[in-house]
Parts: sequence; structure tokens; C-alpha cells
Amino acid sequence: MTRYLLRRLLLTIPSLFGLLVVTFLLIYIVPSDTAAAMAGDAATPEQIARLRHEMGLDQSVLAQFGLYLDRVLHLQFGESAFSHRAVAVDIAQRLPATLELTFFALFLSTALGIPLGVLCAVNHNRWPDFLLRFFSVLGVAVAAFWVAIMLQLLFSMQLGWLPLRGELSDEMLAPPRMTGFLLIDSALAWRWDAFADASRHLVLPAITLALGGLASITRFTRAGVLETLQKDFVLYERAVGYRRSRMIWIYVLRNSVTATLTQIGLLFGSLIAGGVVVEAIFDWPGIGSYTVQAILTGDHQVMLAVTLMIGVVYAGVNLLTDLVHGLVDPRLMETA
Amino acid sequence: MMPALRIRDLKVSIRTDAGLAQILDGIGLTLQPGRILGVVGESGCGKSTLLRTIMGILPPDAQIDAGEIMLQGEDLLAFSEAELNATVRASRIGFIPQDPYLALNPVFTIGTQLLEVMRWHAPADGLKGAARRRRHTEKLVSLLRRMQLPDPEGALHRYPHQFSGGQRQRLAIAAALACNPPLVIADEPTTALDVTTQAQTLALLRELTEEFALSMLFVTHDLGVVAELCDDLCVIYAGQSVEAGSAAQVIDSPSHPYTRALIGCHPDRAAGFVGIPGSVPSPLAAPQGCRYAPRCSSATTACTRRGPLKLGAEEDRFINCRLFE
Amino acid sequence: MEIRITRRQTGALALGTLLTAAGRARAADPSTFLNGAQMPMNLDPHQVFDVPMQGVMLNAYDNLYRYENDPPEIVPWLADGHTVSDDGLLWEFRLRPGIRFHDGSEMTAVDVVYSFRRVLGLGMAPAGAFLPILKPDKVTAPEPLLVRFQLEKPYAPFFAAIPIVSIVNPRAIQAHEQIGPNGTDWAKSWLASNAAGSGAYRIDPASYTPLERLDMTIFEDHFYGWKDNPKPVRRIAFRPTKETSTRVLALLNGTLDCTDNNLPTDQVARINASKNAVVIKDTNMRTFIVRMNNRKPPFDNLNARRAFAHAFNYEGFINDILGGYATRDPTPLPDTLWGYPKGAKGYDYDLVKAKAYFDKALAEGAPMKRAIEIHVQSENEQSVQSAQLFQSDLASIGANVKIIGDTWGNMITNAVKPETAPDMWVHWVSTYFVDPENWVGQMYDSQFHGTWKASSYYSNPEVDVLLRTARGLTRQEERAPLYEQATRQIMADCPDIWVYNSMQLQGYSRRVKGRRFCTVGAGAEMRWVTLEA
Repeated sequence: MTRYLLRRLLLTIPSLFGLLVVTFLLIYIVPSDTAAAMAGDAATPEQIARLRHEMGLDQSVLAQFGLYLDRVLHLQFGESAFSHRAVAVDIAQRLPATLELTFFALFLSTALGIPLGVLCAVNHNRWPDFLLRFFSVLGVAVAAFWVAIMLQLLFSMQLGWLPLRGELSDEMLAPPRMTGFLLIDSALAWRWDAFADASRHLVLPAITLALGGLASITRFTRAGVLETLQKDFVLYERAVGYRRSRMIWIYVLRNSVTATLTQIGLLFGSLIAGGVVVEAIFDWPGIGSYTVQAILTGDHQVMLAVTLMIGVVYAGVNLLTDLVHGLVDPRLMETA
Repeated sequence: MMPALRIRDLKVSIRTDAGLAQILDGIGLTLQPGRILGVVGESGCGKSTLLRTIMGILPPDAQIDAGEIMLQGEDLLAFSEAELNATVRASRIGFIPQDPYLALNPVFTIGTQLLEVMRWHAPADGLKGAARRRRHTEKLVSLLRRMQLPDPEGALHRYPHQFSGGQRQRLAIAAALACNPPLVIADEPTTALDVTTQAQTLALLRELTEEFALSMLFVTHDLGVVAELCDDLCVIYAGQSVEAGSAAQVIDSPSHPYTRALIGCHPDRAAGFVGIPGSVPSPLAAPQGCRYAPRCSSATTACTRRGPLKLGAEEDRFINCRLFE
Repeated sequence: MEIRITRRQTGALALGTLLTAAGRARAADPSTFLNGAQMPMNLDPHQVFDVPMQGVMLNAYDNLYRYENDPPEIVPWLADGHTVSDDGLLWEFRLRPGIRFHDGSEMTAVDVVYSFRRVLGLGMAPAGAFLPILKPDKVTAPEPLLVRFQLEKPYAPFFAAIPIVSIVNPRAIQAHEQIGPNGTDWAKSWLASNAAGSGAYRIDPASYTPLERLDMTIFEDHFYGWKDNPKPVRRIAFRPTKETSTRVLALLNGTLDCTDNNLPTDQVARINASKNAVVIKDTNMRTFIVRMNNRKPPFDNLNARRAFAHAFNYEGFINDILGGYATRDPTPLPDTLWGYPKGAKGYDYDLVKAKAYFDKALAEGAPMKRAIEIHVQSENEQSVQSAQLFQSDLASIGANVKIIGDTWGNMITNAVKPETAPDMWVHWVSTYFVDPENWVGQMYDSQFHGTWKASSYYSNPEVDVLLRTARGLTRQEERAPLYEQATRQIMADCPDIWVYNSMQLQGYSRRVKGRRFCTVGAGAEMRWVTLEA
């Protein structure tokens, strides 16, 4: 078990280094000039040149990469070229919001997607299967922003049940910041009014974000269960009198979720990416809008730090899915 | 005495894309209590469809066209799925799979899987919850010990892949016996094993049949195994029963041309492998009359015109062939 | 990120209009103004100078003079007057007495000197107008309330640029300065997230998340006093909303008091139809222009340039794509500014004329049929649409134009050399200071070649003389005719394609009263505003 996890952990280090190199190179290939953008559109070329020098942008790519690596190893991520705030501080401030949203969406899509996938599989090629497959294709095809606007129109504007934007009402006093996760902080501070308010704000963005994931988890679970249903042990379990529901939901499902688990790990990445749109539409103060802003303005420090940070979180989540994987399927840990 | 299992004129067909396939076309056999009946046939003759029909786990596109399966006087074909599950499987018919490595669920421990079966089908002795589970665990451990499995308590917490092939087969046998069924159906349980383990397993089965007063339906393609283990024998060919009788009698003096050819094929009995000319007919286009007729060297026009004739006064002694009319 | 509104989304919004006809306005807090406009990149008015910054600097900071009203007038603010020497080199501003910063300390001329030196020392956006004519040590405080500027050369727009500089409180800033080998860093990291002003509203640094939120509360001791607005907004909550659709919905359901000032024209009818919001239209001084690189053939040929100028469908663009929310302006100057050549006709959309010029240029050997690239800001829909419209008309006269998606930062970087500057590109020229210098002066005087504003690389010695003379004079009456003359000559030379002067569209809650619009601040100054209960 420990060896299995350790091996996985060691494998992430070269991936993260590769990520660092690729990101760094990408930033240099994409034509954007931080200094020019930073100096503003009223700046003279001399002003831009001066800024470029101050930022070290006039050094060679290799020298800049060396400098960057050195700083990363010392856990120094520099400051944003625009807000002049420590990137680490900005990320620490925004990451919890994104993670809260992403995990909630992930939870929603998993909690719904797995049962729906099982339902599809056991009703293979009958109407529930067709219906759910239709919706899961729809879930992938329909753009998140369209769904988001529809949800806003219905639940915020027409019914007035849920807030339109943000993570907390303007008049609601935020709980003292401890973990940065609004729900957790509210609970820790025994502020259930803030907890309820924050939960209400979480619903629409989480649903929007969950839809794409829901579709893919449904499809993967369906495929996994269908495959497992072909296995000899299913026939055996029927022959020795397993209750059908228990057989499907416990004995078959656990064999089928391995594909789904891998998918959940991958999905986490796509949810972070999809979060960019959702965060923009719902004004969710997360890492997504921060990143987009950094890309549009060419804020290299922020781009690199965010990429690395998302890489670490992503690696962490995949390590977690590997762990769950190992728990679900004991064979894995012995062969590893 | 009432037979432990009696099947009469069972006909099962499966809808395929190419049309209706008549997989079983008149199977009959009788298993007397306390005896081991070997059901022998080549692959593709309908053995596994026969087993799945008895256990009630036919694929959805299969249908039973005729016949009866009498389990101690009750026709299983009249049972609903729920009734089968509640009163027959595991509790009245134990099942030993062909390859326990494939049949056991790879991601659950042996204990979990076997106790799951016992939870629903083994006598609870009026106990509930944890107490029942404890009782079942004790019983299972003693059963595993009887199977000469090393460390039976520990075995419950291990996964199927952590056992050897012979151990897994003994686990599967224990599972079949865990709910005290009077009848056990074994589906070629020794094919996946090496020769030594096979012999040990057969000896164990023999002992257990006497010890637990079991009747056993033993399906195999291997006449050698039948000679070693079985009291009685029923030969099937292309979905039809062709000959039945006591194992010793049929093997020593086979009557039906197919049985003769089959015994001729067996490496132990024949000097060299003598193949039967032609091949098993497709169930989609089964010949009229006797299905063996096209390959039979003794076939007459009568064989193709009408169905084979059943001979013999008792149901467990018969030859389905016009040559013996 | 601004996601472009697609047809499907528009459909959704239209459906929304039906759904929201019932209207669900929230009872809003009558003392808080919820501002949905964009926030600046940081809070330091000496680092950033753009439209979003106006919302911070006009409210949290003061300046010596300030633009008010529409059309803009420059009015005394912290200073109560100024003098200028006859040669236009020596400027003196007298501060009002008793002005207090937010920390309670009194503002003196020394603070003004510090502020200007900080702007010059940082050398960022707001410094652009001053760097060529003002050395830091030439800003002095001869008396406690007197600030003196000694310019390097006469520069009339100096006065017009005075409102760019916010006066900051050195006592708040200096403790955070870090002195390195190149001198002080002017505490630029600190002030980017903090405040050191004297303005009508006080920034609450704890509330600040860059580009996400910022709260300001009223400063009761503001020097201007509150007599003219007895019921001011007590708190301004910046809640910049990134998506147009969300912004509009929030305005409609009462969770925002205003949108940004770049409202898409297709949202106007919908907002005006609602019970609780309205769109306010203001003409601002923001010209829309299609640049041509006069150094790259065929644009070195006058007839070629004229062919292109006659091929742009000005009215079609303004009326059909912008819904009429812009004014056709055939000159490089905003039509509301002094120095504007009255009655100037400019180029009209006429494909027959365009074709004639095209053929003439062709006969003169201009490579009219080469593939020409027009660069646009891909994230800006209008920029893309203008190029698409232009492309199809140009194709009909035989020109082959390719649209290249690009970014602002990249375009202004490439524009600094004629070799790297695009064949054509599309952009706006905003009001950095209200003076013809902001437009024709910096766009067409050849001394500015190498800046993005002068990126058509137009060069006419006669125009250079006119513009330089006008720049050296101080009196508007003397300067105006020079700019008019220069502008007419530039128009005859047709270096660029001038399209329109913008109209600013901004959605406001109907409870917002007393707003004053001035094009320089884009209407962001909040001290005049009252919220109706």
C-alpha cells in the first residue's frame, strides 16, 4: 500500500517538472508583452523598455527559466505584474473558492452520474437507457454558458429562489477567514446564516459545472457496468442466489467503477478548466477569472504559478483517485 | 424413491440475428438421490444451456419451448425468478462453477462473498444480524477446514487472486455446500486444474457426496472423469440425450453409435485419436430426425425421417436410436 | 473574460425578457451603491490610467484641476487657480488651504510635489504626457501652498493633462518605500492594494480583492464639502461583473446599480423596458479608427489609401452593427472638441469612387492586390465585426484582406516599428486629456513615430510645423485654428480611416439620481449621486 502510493507520488514529480517546462515555453511562444500591457496604452516605448528590464524580460529564455526554477524551489512565486500582490497570497485567497465549487460539482456529478450510469446499464437498450443517453449527450453538447444563463433566468430572475451571482450576499457579513472555504469557515464560526447564504450561492454554479461531468460519469459508469455484466462472476452470483439489487449496486458496481474513478480524476482537470466560464458567468471569485486575466494581460508570474498550482492539485487529486482505486481493487496494490 | 432431479423432453431455443437456434431439442435425464450423474457431451452440445435452464439464469433472448425440470417433484419451470431465488438457488441446488477464478468476484473477500450467499439462503437458526453472521462464519470456517484449506479463518479476509487454483476450487465447493443443499450441480469443475489437483478434487467430491448425502449432477466433456467419479451417465449430442445408463455399463459397452464414437475418441481408451467424421450440426439448421444421423455410419433413411426412438423401461436407462428398435 | 454574445445566447436573453416581465426587484440598501463596472488592474492611480481607474481615482483621490460636465470643462479642484508665464514654461498652482487627507493630515504643496515626482519616477501610464517636458526636480514647492512647474519646453497640453495626476499622501506611502540600487520603488506594491488619498470616498483596503471587489466609504471631511449633495451615497461597493448577461440580469433584479459603460447595443431596449433600470447614453470622446501603415505599400500611395477610405461602410456599421449608438466622425478629432474643422466632409462610403481610386493606384504601380492583413482585438466583438464588414466591401473592389486576431498588448508592441506594425489595425483613441494634442498631435506629428498612437507612420513636414507651433502656444484661441488647419491637411492626405466618435452606453438603476457625466472620467465620479429610497 505505502509502496504503491510512494511510487505514484514519485511519478508525479517528473510530470510536474514537465508541466513547468511546457508552460514556460508556451508563455514564450505566445506573443504577449507583459511590459507593454503593464505600462498601459499611454506609455512610451522608453517606459516599456524600462519596465521590461526591471522585470528581467530582456534576459535570455534560459536565464529566465533558471531564475524561475530557483524561485519555485524556494516556494517563491513572485508578484503579479499588475496587482503587485504576492501571487501566492492571491492564489491562497482564490483557490479555496474554486476548490469548493469544483469539489461540489464533482460530488454532484459523481453522486448522480454513477446511479444514472447503472440505471442505463441495467436497462440497456430500453427507454431509460435511451433517455439518459440522450440527456448525457446533451449535457456534453450544450455549452455551459447557455445552461448557466437559463438557470439564472429561471431560478434567480423568474422564481427568485437562488442568487444570481457571487459567493455571498452583499449584505451578509462574511465569516472570519480561517480555511478560506466559505462553507467550512461559516460552520467553524457557527455562522449558520452565512452557511445557508453561501450554500444558496453555490447551487447554480455547481449545477452548471456538474452537468458536463455528470454526462461523462454517466457514460463511463454505464460502459463499466455493461462490461462487468458480461463477466462470469455475474452469472455465478445469479446462480448462487444473490439478490439482484445488491448484486448490481454492490458487487457489480464496485467492479465497474474503476473506469469511472479514472474519469473522475481526469474530470477534475476539466472541471477546473470549465470553471473558468462558470466562474465568469456567476462572478465566482475563484482562480478561473484570475487566470484568464493573467493570460489576457500576459502576467507571466501568475500564469506560471497558477499552472503549477493547478498541476499540483491535479496530481493530488489523481493520487487520491489512485488511492481509492487501490482500495476498490486490491489486485492493483499487489502488482504495483 | 423420487428422483433428486428429473428432466423430461426439455426444449430451449435462442433468438439470434441469424434466426431461431434450437439449442436443446429434447433433453431427458434422471438423477437418483445419493448418486452422481455425469452429463457428457462435446463442447457446443448444449451443456451450459442445460445448466442455465436448471438454475433459471438463461440469457434474456432464450425461451423454453417445452419440457419439465422436476426437483423433488416440483417443476422448476413453474417457479418465478423471485421464487427461484428465495427457495431454490443455494438452498436446494448448490452450484460449483467451471472456473472459480472467473466466477468469484475479484474485488471482494472470500468471506464477504460466501457470507452474502449464506445470509439469504443458509438456515438462520432463528438468529438475526450479527449473531446470525457469527453463526454463518463459524459454519463457513468449519466447512473450509473440512476442505483442507490452510488457515480457514484468514481465508475469509483474503481475495480470490490470493489462492491457488485448487484452493479456489475448494472454496467454490464450500460455497456450494454452505447452505446445505441436497443437490449440487457441478459445471466441469476440474477442467481448469492440473492432473494431480484434479484427482484430489474428484476424490474430495466423492467423499463429500457421501458425507453430506448429496445428489450431484456433474457436467463434463471428459469421459475419464465420469469413469472415475460418476455412478450414472447421460450422453448428450447436439441438444438431445442419446444414451443413459450406469456409468460402468455405458462406458464398457456403449450402444449408441455416437457414444461408441465418443468412447473411441477418448485417449485412455483408443489407441490413437479417432475423430468422428463431419461436425456437430448448427442449432440454426438442425437435421430432421436424429441429429447424429448425418455423421452416423449406421444411419438409415428412417433415422432422418423420424425422431430417434426412446428405448428402455426406466427413464435412467435408455438409448435414443432406431438401430435398437 | 468577456464571452461574446452569440445568437443563441441572445435568444436566451430575449426569452429572459419575457420571463422577467413580471419583475423581481430586490429592496436594495439605500445607502450603498453597487457598482458593476470593471475595476482597474490595481489601486495605484500613478501606475494605471484607464477608464476603470476613473472609478477609483475620481472617488478616492483628488487632483489639482478636474474635468467636470459635458462637454468637459477643466475646473479648479484642489488648486483654486493657476498662473502661467508668457513663454508657457513656468506654471504655478495655488492649493486651497485646509485640505485634509484621509489620515487627517493637511495637504501642502510638498505633497503635490511628491505626487508629481512619484508619477515621473514610476514612469508608467499617467507619466506619458509629462516625461518629455518635465524633470522631477523642476517640480517645487516655493511656498506651503504654492506648486511650481518649470517645463523644459513650451507645451500647451500640460494644463489639459494636470487632472491626470492624483495627489497622494506621502506620509502614508513613504513608510512602505523600499530603496534599492535604482533609488526608491515609490512603494508601488503597497499602494497597489492600499490607499493614500483625500477624495470624497475612502478605500477600505481589507475589502479589496483585485478585480473582484472593493468597498469605499464616505469621507465626511472631504475638502469640497457635501453641501451640494445632502444625501450622498454612503458606501460604494465595487462588484465588477465579468459577463455582460449576468451584469444586465443583476441590474434588472436590483443587485447592481450600474453596468459597465460598454453596454452592448442589443441590451438597450431590454433594460429600458424594465421597471427598475434605464440606459444612459453619453457622447464621449473616444474615436474609432482603422489604421493604415503608410510605410508599407500599397499604403504609401495616396490613391490606394483613398480607395480604402471610400470602401468602409460607415453608416452601415454605425446604424446596423452599433444600432445607431455612435456619431459618424470623418476626422481624427472628436466632433465635440475645440480645434475641430467645422464642416469637414471627409470620405464617404462609395464603392464607385473606391474602385476608381483603386484602379488609379494600380496604374501607379501600387500592389493593390497583395494580401493585406488587418489586425483586430479578438476578444472585442466590435473590432472583429468592423474588420469583417470592411473585408467584404474591399473584396468587391478587388482588394484581398485577411483578418488576424490579435491582442491589444501585442498590437501596441508591434506598432512601435514600421516594419513590424500591421498593414492595418483597428482601435479606439480614448480621452487621456482633453486637448487636440491627445488625437491629431500625438497621432500625426512625425516626432511620435515609434508610439502606437502614431503607428500609421504618417509624415508631412507642413503638418509637423503646424502641430509643433500649436503645442508651444498656451492660448486656445491661437491654437485652435492651427489644429483645424493641420486636421484638414491630414484629412486630405488620408493616412487613416476615421469612423466614429463613441457613445457611451451604461445601464443604471432608476434609483440612481444626480449622476454627472464627464467624458474624461466616464461618469465614474460618485460624489454627486443620490440613491432614491
